[in-house]
Amino acid sequence: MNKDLLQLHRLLDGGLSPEDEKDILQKIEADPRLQREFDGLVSAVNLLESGERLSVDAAFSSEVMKRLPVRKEPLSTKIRGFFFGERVLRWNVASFVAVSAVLLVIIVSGLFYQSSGKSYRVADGVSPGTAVKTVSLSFNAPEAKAVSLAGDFNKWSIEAGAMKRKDDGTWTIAVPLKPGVYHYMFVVDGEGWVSDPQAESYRDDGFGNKNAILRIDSI
Amino acid sequence: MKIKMILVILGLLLVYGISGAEPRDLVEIRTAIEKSSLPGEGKITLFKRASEAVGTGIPASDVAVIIKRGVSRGTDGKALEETLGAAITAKEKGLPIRPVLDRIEQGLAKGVPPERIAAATKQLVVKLSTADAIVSNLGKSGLKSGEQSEKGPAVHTVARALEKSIPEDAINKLGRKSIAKGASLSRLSATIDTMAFFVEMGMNLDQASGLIMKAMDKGYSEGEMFMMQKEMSDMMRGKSNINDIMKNMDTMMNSGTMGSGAMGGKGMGGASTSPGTQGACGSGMGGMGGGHRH
Repeated sequence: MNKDLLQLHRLLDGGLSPEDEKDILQKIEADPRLQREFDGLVSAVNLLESGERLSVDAAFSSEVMKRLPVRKEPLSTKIRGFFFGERVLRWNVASFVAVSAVLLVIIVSGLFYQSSGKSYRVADGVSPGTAVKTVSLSFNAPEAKAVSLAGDFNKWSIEAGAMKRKDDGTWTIAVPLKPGVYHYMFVVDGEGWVSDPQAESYRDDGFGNKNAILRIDSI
Repeated sequence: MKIKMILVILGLLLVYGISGAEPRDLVEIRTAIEKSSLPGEGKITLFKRASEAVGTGIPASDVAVIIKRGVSRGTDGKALEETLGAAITAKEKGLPIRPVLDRIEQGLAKGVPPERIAAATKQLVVKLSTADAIVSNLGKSGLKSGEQSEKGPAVHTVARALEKSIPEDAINKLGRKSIAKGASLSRLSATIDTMAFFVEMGMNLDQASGLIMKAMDKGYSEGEMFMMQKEMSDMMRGKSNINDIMKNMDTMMNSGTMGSGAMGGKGMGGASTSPGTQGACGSGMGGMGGGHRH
């Protein structure tokens, strides 16, 4: 490209000083070849400016790079690239909300599972999700200072099932349980293990005592 | 790329969730052992055994309950190791683990001497092993089994019957009859459970077996089997002797009044509220009893 043509390009780019601009304009006036060249370039600029502007994807560069022929690299370089190579994370609000919702469900269900497994277990053979029923149990012990309900549903914990005393000396508790068969006893003043005298059935506990049996049918 | 990222994040969270549930219980186990009065060597071996139990897949929360309850009652470390060893054996053999853990947790809660807990737990594991073989063989012989989850409770029921000295032959006889009648494993389980209950309450094997066979012939459901237990409990509260109970049960089965309470309430006198009634396995404390379910 000769000097005049270079000056033409600079003129269209707006990169000439006033003196150089005046000089090249005079040359265009005088030289028909240069005049044609200038008209051609102006037409090209107008054509480009009149066309629709296309937006380029933010990851355009990475997509182009991905499509370039892959150079054969040693395994160590590949491993290093896999772990330490920079990646472009593309996201939008919709995918962010969707991922957040999934995470929230996982975390909440995890917390629920952990807390629900602490006090009352699901009976053997009962599928999770079966409707829970609240069962009220009572025990008459006017002289007792404390009575609690312990059973296989709370790992026989004396502390977990503290019962409430009513004015007539009856101790009561409401327990949420899923359908199944449960073994239980009342614990009087933290040490006296007493079977429910009104239980539907009884089972030997393996140590010579009789556990009361509570059967909860599914609806 | 987007899906891969989401899967990686979910995978990490799941790993965190699964592993995150265990360490807290293990920390509790370690703390309980460290605070115990066990000698240094005993602390190390007990913690090793507890970790082994968790490693075999026994829920860490149950191991934590056993250790905490055991050391707080001053239980000998060796006895605790033995009971955990029995649970590990059950788990490794693929036997139902819940009844084993339940027996240990229950024994410790009730203040049963640790040596007795260890012996009772070991005996239960032996019975569970025999019961597992019985149930598996009945399955192979054509007993209908709905869900896999039915097997564990059935094995436990058979083990309990064996603990009550009900012979394997008697159980197999009920199993064969169930197969012939097209009954399911869960119904057979209810049948064996009721027979074990009758024996526990004082019937001899022939009496119990006779009633159960009759119930099977009449096609009693699981609920009706349990109703027989309820009727018998009511009659026992009425202080009836075992022969009278037998006759009454037989009459009710013949007349189709099982579960109607036609005979069960006789002579009970409202034990549910009267202050002087003592519990069926009461501790001898006066002025107690009369619990009831609403």
